[in-house]
Amino acid sequence: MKKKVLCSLLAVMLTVSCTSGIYAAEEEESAETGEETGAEMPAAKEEFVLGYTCPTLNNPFFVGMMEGAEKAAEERGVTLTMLGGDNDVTKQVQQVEDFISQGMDAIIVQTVDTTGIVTAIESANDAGIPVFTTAELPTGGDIQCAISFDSYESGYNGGTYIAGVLEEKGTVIELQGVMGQETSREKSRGFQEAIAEYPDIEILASQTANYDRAEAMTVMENLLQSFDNIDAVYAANDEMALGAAQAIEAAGKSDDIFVMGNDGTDEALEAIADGTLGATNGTPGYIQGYIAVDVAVRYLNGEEVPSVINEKNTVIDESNLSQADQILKAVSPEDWYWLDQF
Amino acid sequence: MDKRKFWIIARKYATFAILCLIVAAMFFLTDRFFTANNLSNVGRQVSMNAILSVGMTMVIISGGIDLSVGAIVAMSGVVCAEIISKTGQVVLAILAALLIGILVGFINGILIAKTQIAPFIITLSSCSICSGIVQASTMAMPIPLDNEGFKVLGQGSLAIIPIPFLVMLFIFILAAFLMNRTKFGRYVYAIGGNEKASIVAGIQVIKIKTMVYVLCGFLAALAGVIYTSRLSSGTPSLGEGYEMDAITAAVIGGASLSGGSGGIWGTLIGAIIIGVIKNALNLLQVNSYYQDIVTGAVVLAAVLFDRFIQTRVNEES
Amino acid sequence: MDAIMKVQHVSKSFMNNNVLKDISLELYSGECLALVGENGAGKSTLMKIITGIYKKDEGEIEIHGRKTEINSPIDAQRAGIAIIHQELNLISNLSVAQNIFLGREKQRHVQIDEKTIYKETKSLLTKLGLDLDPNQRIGSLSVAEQQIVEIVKMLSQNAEIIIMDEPTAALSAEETERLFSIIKDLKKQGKGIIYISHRLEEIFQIAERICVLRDGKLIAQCDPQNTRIDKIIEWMVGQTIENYYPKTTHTIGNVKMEIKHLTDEKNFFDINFEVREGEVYGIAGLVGAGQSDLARCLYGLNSVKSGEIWVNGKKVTVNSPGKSISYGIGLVTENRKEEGLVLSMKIKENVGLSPWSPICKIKGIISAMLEDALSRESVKKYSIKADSVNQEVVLLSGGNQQKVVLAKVLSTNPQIVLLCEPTRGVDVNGKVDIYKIIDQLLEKKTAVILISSEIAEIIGMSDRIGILYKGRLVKEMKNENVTQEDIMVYATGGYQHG
Repeated sequence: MKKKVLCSLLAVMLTVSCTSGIYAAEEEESAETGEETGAEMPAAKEEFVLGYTCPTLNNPFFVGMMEGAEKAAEERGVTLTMLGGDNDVTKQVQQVEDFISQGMDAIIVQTVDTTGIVTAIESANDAGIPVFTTAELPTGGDIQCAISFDSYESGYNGGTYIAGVLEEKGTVIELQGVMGQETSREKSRGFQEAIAEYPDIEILASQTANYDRAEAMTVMENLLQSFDNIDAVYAANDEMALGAAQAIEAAGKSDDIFVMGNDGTDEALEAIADGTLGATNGTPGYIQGYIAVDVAVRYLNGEEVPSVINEKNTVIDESNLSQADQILKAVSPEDWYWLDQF
Repeated sequence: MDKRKFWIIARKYATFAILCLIVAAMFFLTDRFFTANNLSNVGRQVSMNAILSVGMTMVIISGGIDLSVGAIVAMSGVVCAEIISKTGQVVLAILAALLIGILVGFINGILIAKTQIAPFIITLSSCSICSGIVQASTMAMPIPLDNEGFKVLGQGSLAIIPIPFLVMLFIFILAAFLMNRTKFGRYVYAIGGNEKASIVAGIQVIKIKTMVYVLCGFLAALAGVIYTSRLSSGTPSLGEGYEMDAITAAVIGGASLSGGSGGIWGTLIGAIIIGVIKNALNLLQVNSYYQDIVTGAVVLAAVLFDRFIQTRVNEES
Repeated sequence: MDAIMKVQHVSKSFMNNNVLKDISLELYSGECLALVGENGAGKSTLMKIITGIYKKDEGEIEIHGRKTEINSPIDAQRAGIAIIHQELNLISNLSVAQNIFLGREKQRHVQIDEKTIYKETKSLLTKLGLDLDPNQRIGSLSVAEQQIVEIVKMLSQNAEIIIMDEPTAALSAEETERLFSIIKDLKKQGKGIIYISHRLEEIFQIAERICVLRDGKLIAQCDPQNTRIDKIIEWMVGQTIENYYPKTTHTIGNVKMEIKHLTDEKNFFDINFEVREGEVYGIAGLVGAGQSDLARCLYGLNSVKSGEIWVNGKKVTVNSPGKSISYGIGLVTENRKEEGLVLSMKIKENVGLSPWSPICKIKGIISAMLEDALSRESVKKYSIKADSVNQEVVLLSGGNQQKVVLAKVLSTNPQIVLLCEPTRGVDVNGKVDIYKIIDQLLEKKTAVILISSEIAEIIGMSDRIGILYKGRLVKEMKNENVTQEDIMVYATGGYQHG
């Protein structure tokens, strides 16, 4: 008895100590089932419980992802526990292990480190729990379905887009994310390789600002002192793009420098509307989360799922700003484009 | 005896000498450093960390540590942005933000002074609680601002001198006066040097300690408000890890983590060293991976140099 | 009889400063050699050379007739030399046995063999006739017991020569007696003991031979049997001290402070006494008889359970140092480094540390001029020897540090001064200076409560004497022809039996 009390106390303490907090979306089984429009919504036969670990929840991108995942969970009538890992793979490993001992029906992982997470995935495999991933594919373990977002491709697309804006001639500055993370490295590699295809475009500097707005502003201020001839800035996320734009505006060079971000946050879209930001490469976290839960529930209901589902990335600029919502959060049944890949 | 005096003076100006060394190196390495614009940039960039470091220095001198300043920066920034975006009342927003800092500082201080629990633990907890509250109440979404008046605080300049720099200088002059010329400052040093002796001397240790954390919280909130104005946005992820930069500045400036020693002007130099290094690494386009190495190495070198001189002082006595 | 150790012509200088000049002395098996001298006479330098911390410039050390180079503490340990410092080198979280075998743990496979360690410790303790549990945590032992553990530790390392540096500084009379009986045992076992102390009476009790050092020179060697104590003091100081206790007569005035039925129900019970203007009320008692707790309560550092404190005919409540200072009470605590001074601060900063120090023209803002003036005046008035008032107190000698503490307390002009062990660890000249300061206070009609475990000091300075035994004031007497024995009878509870 005493032991049990101690255990639950410990569990409570562990939960509380997880600073990123837990967001659990619980919903009674959806009343409306079997709508026949376009695609069918998979209804849960029993109440499934899903665990989802993502790099962090202190960042608008992942908050968007959480909203998408919760939306899907609500519609499908499953219980979802979503945790952020403070950008620390050991914490994510621990979270997956906790999911296993909680007896989750399926585990969704978006990892900060594709190698470090493998042991945890293997443990889940051993426990017979299906594992799904979003974004990067871990280097080992059995994955039921990888909802793939190719950071390399995203960076490459970004580079190509910038080249188009600059008409294949000019200079660009790259603001990198946290370079200890694989997504950041891949995105940067993609971007640099795309630019390398245009001999008349020069990358003046590649500097990190750790996905942080304040830091990006400082770095940009300093770089503006170093270079007088910057034509464009490519930032690995919107927060950094906004920080850089702020610095550029303060230097009075808003009209000369084209700034591109990544993600498609609300604030970035507003900035595109008022012209301080040139474009953002829509990386819809919302859909990513939505797809992951949808696919997991389909699998649990016995549907065949493909081993890889590719997520689209689309650049949003002035020309298609009005459809931004469609691109980033389109999850009405007719927009379930991933079902084509089944 | 003269040798000892030499080393004491050397110690006093060691950090300043290091700063001069770095600046001189920049003079030879790039012609972009000594431009009015860049210097004004550095001034602006240094200001916020420097303001945080003042509070941190006081706390460290009193023998404590405050790990919650980063979280207070975020909290005050978000509160400030929220009120401005809702009501447009800039003054009210700033006052509310500062009050938040004072409140968190007061809770930290009273708990530390009354319970004798390690400041490390108390402020680590309040850091966690504050950043949790910020994340939960904003859902991690930044609050965009569009208020020209508020922008001046973080983005404006007086002639070429950035406003944050002026605010910082004002804070430093005030803090130096407080720490060097008033009884309050004297008691902060005394408590850090020997708390028991301070109690016996009749000093109201609980009151002084609490005030130190209140001041630290207040200054963190001030930094948070300036950051928010500078970014024109209340950013929930702001301030993460800023406490480490503040501690580093204080330690480079000669503060000892065991309390009782350190100085306000030393901390200013420490903060400027950190800022100049970051600026220099950007100007020289050092690869991201190497930036951390260089920063760490410079900080280590500064501290080792200081220890080297300190040993000389001790040997000569 | 052969000497265990021979020190021959040892000299040492630091930066052209001769701190030891041609010292030669011998230590014989089974004897206790007392080393006395003022602070700075060279005692500790000599001991540091013998224990391998400093290197000698000239001279030789012979152990058992063989020339031995001692270049590090490890060499000293190998040569059978052990030193017991004032600050003990024990780890308070570990047990007695674990401390004794620290660094030399017996192992069974990879584990520490706690059983063997326990057994060996037990047998070492019984050999000295000690009843200590080897499993007890060091932190739970008294200072005296810790010291014994330290001695046992040295013996377990086969020490032949044991140096004791002020071993009785923190011991009560009873504990001192026990230490002496252990020393006698050690002598019987043929060990040689070098005993360093400021307490000359003790030395006469325990030592076979006394060596007096002054200014780095060996001034005299003598046999305590036929040497008088004043002669030794004269050797130490280099001049005759005419008046060791320079107390002059003062008119004793009105009652300044009155204590009625004061008790904290733990350390002292039902204490009643009064002290008048211009009077020294001495409180004697063994260490731990409740005197320091009493002083702390009178100053508001600890709280009392019941009883009354009257100051100037008015009943007062003192519950914080601030309050008591405002009633004109000042306290010099028994441990200056822990509670008296902020060592990292300058002399002037320490002198003006109290919130009631007159160093502000505008409230809260320190006037550099007033601060300087106050500390300069103090340095002169209390003859504090320092380069300047800007010197850090950590660099001062014990006596001068103690004077800074006095200056700090007296800067608030207290009417009632509580002095706890005011001359502990202070050399002869410093002591006389401090007694002079006390005399100056009486001149100003201050009431002084002097708490000391040095009975000679109590007799030398007090007008009336109160004796505490187990927390109760068992005797109060006028200081007329009182002898040390008179006081000891009460302080040890002997009055109950005879």
